[in-house]
Amino acid sequence: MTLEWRNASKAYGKKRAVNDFSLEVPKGELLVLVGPSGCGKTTSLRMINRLVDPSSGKILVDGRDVSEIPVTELRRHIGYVIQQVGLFPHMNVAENIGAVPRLLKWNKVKIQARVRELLDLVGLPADDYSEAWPAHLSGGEAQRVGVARALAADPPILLMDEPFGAVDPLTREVLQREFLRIRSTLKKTVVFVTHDLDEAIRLGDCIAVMNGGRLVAAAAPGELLLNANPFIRDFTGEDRALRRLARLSVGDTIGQTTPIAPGGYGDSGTPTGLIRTDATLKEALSLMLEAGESSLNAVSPSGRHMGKLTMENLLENAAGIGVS
Amino acid sequence: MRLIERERIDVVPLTAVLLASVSFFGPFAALKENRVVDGQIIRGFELLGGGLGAGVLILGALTLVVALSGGGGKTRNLVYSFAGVACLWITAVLLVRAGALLGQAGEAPRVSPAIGFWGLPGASYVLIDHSRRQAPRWRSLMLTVCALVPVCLIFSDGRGAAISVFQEWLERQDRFLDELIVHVRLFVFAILGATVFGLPLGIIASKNKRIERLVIAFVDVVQTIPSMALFGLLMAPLAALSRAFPLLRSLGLRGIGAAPALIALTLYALLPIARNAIVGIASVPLPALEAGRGMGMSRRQLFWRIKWPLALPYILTGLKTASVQAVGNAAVAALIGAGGLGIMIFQGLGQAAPDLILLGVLPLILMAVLVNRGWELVIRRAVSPGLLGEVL
Amino acid sequence: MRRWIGLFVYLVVLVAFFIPSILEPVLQFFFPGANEWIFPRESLIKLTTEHLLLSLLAGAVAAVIGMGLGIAATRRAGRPFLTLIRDVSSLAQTMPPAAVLALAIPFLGFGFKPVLLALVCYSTLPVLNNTLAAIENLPRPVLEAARGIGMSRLQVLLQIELPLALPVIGTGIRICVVINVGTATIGALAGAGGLGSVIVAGLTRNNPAWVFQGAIASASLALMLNSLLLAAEHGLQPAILRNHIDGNSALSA
Repeated sequence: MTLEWRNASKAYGKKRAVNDFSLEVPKGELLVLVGPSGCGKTTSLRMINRLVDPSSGKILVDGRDVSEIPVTELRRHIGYVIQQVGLFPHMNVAENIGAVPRLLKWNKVKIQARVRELLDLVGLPADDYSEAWPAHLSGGEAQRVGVARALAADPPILLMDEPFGAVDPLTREVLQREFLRIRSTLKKTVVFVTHDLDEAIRLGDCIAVMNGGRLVAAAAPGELLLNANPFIRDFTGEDRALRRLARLSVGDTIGQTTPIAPGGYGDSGTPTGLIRTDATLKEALSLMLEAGESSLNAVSPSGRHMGKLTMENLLENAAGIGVS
Repeated sequence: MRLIERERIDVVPLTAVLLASVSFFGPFAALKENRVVDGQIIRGFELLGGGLGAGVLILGALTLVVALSGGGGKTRNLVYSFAGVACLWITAVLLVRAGALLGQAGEAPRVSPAIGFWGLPGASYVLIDHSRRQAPRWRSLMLTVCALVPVCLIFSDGRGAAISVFQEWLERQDRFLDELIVHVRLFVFAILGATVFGLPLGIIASKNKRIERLVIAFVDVVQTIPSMALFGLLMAPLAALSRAFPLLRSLGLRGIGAAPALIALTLYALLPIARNAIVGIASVPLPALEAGRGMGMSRRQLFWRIKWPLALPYILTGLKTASVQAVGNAAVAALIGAGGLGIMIFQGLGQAAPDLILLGVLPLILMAVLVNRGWELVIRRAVSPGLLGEVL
Repeated sequence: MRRWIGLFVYLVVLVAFFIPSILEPVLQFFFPGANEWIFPRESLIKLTTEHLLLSLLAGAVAAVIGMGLGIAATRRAGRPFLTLIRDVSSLAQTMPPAAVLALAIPFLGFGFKPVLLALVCYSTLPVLNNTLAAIENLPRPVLEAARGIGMSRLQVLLQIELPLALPVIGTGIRICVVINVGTATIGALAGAGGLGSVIVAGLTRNNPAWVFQGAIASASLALMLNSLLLAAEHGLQPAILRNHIDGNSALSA
C-alpha cells in the first residue's frame, strides 16, 4: 500500500509540532523519518494510525483519507512497534502475538499456527517462548516479540517508532540485521522513526530528515549524504564520507568501476592485501590504512579473485561520484 | 555470628524451643471452680506423666540437634514439620489432662488457658512456617490439617468439655451460631456495598485528577475516624431520618441496629477499595496502553483487556484489606445493637469474664485469618501469573 | 497550605467542644429530647488529654519497638528471623484491633496500663511492616556504593539506610498513632478512660448527645493527629522524593 502525507500539520496550542508536511511512500518502500528530538517525526508517524489527528492536511493510505476509515479498523491493519515495546505483562508471549488476530476474531487454530510461524520468523523457538511471560524476557527478546505482534495480522503497513532505541548497541545491530532479513521476505510499506543516522542509512530506502516540524529533505541514503543543505551537513556530521563508504560493498564497487583486466594489476603494482567482496568500503579503507597500501585484491567469499580495489575507487565513492 | 554462618546453625527453631518451654515452665492453665474466680495455676511440666515427658524431651533434643548440626535441608524440614505438628498434639493432650485434674467442686469447674498456654501453639506456628519455605504447597496444607486434627478431636468426643471456652460455647450454642451468622452477614453486605460503590468511584476518579483528589480526601477522612465514633456519629442523623420518614423506618432504617452498622462498615471499606482501584489503574504501564490503542482496541476493549486485568491485583488486594478490616469492625457494631460476635466480647468485658471474651474473640480472629487466606487464594487464581512475580 | 487548613479546622472543633457554653447550645439544638447534654462525670478536656496521652505514649513505644525490630531483622545477624518476623507480623495484622484489646484483658486485667500494653502490641505492626519494607526496598546500588566508598555497616545504617527509609517509616508511625486513637476509644470498655467512655456512657444510658460529643471529639482528635503527622512526614522527605507517593502501600496495607 502507498502512504502519503498531504500538507499535514499538527499544532499543540501555539506550538507547531508538524508544519505542512508532505511526502509519499511508494508501496513496499521503507521510509525512515530522522531528526533531532522534538522535530515532529513521531507525531508524523502517529498521524498514520490516527493516534494523532492532524490539525490540517490529510493522510492517505492507498489513496484513502485515513480520517474516513473507522479508527479501530484502520489500526488493526497497521502494525505498530514502539520503543518501550509495550508488551501486555499479563499475557504470555503467544497471547501477546495473538492480540490483533483475536481482535479480528480469527479462530483459535489459525491464531496458534500464526503465532508459531511468527516466532519462527523473528528467531525465537516457539517451544521455548510461546508460554514465557514478558517480565522474563530480555530487551532484545521483548522487541522481537513486539515486532512479531505487529506483524501478526499480516498488515500491509508497519509503523516503527524507534523500535531498537532501548537495547544495547550489540543487540541493536543484531535486531537491525534480522529486521532487514524479515523485510526482504515480507514486502511491506514501512515507516521507521529513529534519531540514529547510522540506523537510518543502514535500513532506509528513503530517508526523510525533519527539523522543527518541517521536512528538510527526503532522499535515498547515498544522495542524502551529498546534500549541501547546511542543516543536513551538520546533522550527518563530519564523518559523512565514511558513512557513505559504510553503505557500499566492495563487490558493488568492483563491478561498477574496474572491469577485471586479464593479467594486469594496473600501475600500482601487485597488491598483497586481500578483501572480501561482501566487506564494506569503510572496512576496505581501514585495511588499506593499516597495511599502508593503496590497493587491495578483492576476493569472493568462496575465494575467487574478483579484481582490484584501489584508493581512487574509494575516493570517488566517498565524494559521491557515480553514486546512484 | 561467624560461627552461625560457618556451621550453618539454624537459629529460628531455637526460638520455637524457647517458646515451647514457656508452656512447660510458665503458667499453662488455671483450674477454676467457676467463670470469675482466680483458679489454681498449673505449669505444663506438671502434666507430663507416663512417657509423655520422655517424648517431649526427645522431640526437643531432636529439634535442637538438627538445628545445631549442619544437616541437609530435607532432614531438617522433616524434623521441623513433625515437631510443629507434635506441638499442637501435645497442647491438646495437656489440656485434656488438666481437665482430668479438675475436682467436681464448684458449679462449673473449668480449665482456663493461662499466658503460658500460647507457647506451644506459637512454637508450632514457628516450626511449620519455617519448614514450609522449601516444601511444596500440598505439604504445608497437609501439615496444617494434621496439626488441627487433635483440636477437633478433643472437642468432638467430649474430652475437651472442661476447657473454659468450650463451656461458654455449650451454654449458648444456638445464640453463638446466630451471632456468627449475623456477623458474617454484616461484613459480607458491607463489602458488597463498598464494592458496588467503591469500584466505579475509583475507576471514575482515575480518569480525572480533581475527582481523584476529592474521593481520596473523603475516604481518608472516613478511615481516620475511630470506628466507634463513626458508629456513634451515624446514630443521630439516622434516627432523625427514621423519625421524619416512616417509609424509611418500615424499611428497617433506625438510629441503632443493622442500618447504621452497615452504613459505617460500608464507608470504612470504601477507602481500600476505591484507593486501590485508583492506584491499580494508575499502575498500568503507559506503553501497554499505547500498544493497545495502536493495534486498534476500542475503549471498552482497552479497559477490559488491558486496564482491568493489570489493575486486578491491586483491586483484589484492596478487597482483601477491606474485608479483613470489616470482619474486625463488625465486632464493634455490636455496641450499637447490630449484633454479631462483638456481643460476646462486650458482654465478657462487662462481666469481667475472660472465657466469654475468648469465645467471641477466637472465632473473630479465625474468621479474619480465613478471609485473608481466602482472598489470597482468589488473587493467586485470578491474577495472571505474568504479574505475580512483580507485584505480589 | 491545604494541610494546615484541615489541621486548623479540626483543632477549632475540638477546642470549641471543650467550652461548655459553646457545646451546650449546639447539643441542645441537635438533641432537643435529651435530658442532660454535657457529659457530667469528667470534663472533655481531661478525657481528651487522657486519650491523647494513651495514644501517643503507646505510639512512641510502638515506634521504638517497631523500628528496632525492623532494623534488627534486616541486619546480618537478624536475617534468619526476617521471614519469620514478616510472616508473624502480617498474620498479626489481620487480627482486628478490637480483638487484640479484648484478648489482652483476660491476661492483663482492666485499666489504663493493660490497654496501653495492648495498644503497643498491636500498633507496633504497622511501624515494623513499614520499616521492613522501606529498608528491604532500598536500591541495592546505593547500598553497594556506600559500602564501596568505605562506610562501616553502622555508617551505612545511620547515613544511608535510615534517612532514605524515614519517609516510609514515618507513614507507619502515622498509621500506628491513628490506629491507637481508634482502638483507645474502644479501650474505654476495658476501663482505660478517654473519649470512648463518653460514647459508651451515651450508648448504655441511651443519651445520643453524649454519644455525639464523644464521637465528634475523638474523630477530630484522630483527624488532627493525622494531619499533623502527615505534615511532619512531608517534612521528613527529601525534597527530591516528594512526588513519589505511596505505590506499594496500596499492596501491603
